Amino acid sequence: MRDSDHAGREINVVPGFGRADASIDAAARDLTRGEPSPQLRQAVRARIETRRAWWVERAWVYGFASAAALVIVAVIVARGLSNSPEEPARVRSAQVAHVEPPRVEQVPPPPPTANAPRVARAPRRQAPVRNIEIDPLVIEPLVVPRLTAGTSSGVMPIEIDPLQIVPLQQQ
Amino acid sequence: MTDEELVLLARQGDPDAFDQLVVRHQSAVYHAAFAALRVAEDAEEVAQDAFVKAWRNLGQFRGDSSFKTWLLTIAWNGAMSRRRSVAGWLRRTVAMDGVIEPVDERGGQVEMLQDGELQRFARQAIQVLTPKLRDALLLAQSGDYGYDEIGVMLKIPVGTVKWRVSEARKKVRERLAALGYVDAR
Repeated sequence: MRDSDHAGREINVVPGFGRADASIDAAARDLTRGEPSPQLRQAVRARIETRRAWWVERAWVYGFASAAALVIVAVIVARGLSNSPEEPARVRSAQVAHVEPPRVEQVPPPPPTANAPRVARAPRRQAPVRNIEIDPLVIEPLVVPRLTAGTSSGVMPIEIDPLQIVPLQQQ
Repeated sequence: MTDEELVLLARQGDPDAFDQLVVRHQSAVYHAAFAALRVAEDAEEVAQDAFVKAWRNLGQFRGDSSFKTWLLTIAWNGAMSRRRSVAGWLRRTVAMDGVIEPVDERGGQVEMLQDGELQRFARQAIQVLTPKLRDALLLAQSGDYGYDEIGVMLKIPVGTVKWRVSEARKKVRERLAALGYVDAR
């Protein structure tokens, strides 16, 4: 169909919007047309399988790594316990196990008074008291060489005249 | 077997079940990526990535939407990431058709426009739409998705999807009319 625009130019006219709309729909479909390649499915499968294999390998690696870490932690903890300061005491106490520790008489708690808060407290667990014999400290006196002052270094003494204050009335 | 049943099997590590999901939805995923990128190779890569990512994150699929919608959202997000990259922009620019020529510069051709020729101009007019309008129009016209699915993919309400599609058609018609290809009356 031939027509002219406002400037009188000859143009091609498509009557109505129906055909234009159909063309727009077809053009839009054309812009999204196309099918994925047949390799898409295989490619996805391959990547998934690769990833699964990777995870399986990583699982072994992570397993070994965590086991090794556990062993290392256990060794460190064991060494720490063996080097702890309480260990010699334990050994000693084991060596003198035949000695009975002194008995500690438990003092009964004082009776509750009227002003005391009504809070039920668990009885304190008292640690066993050990009798430790300690030698008295012996403090030895420090021997310090005595410094003797020699002759003067030659500094001349400063002589200062006494300050004289003149009364204000004489001025 | 439904998608949800296949998803359950795939979650348990069954690659064959997931393979069936790929076969079912590969066209829809590819078309979405192609609508966004307009380059076949890029669309293929984005589709692959979307399926692999879906496989990895199957545990996060809670079933709030259908598996297809969830998958399409992953694919669309991947396509958007690629579209924002400079290299992708260059490839799409090269892939675009030529500019639309006004009627009076076409050597006085006065024959009635053939449908194919009009489609070509409509296609060029669609390509110069804003991305928001173009995406909505292409996804709606591809025939693979409902408006609700498009809304989830684009993260906009269904009403906005419909408005964008309508506005895109209007813009294309106006452009064709301004160039003298359709009757604007």
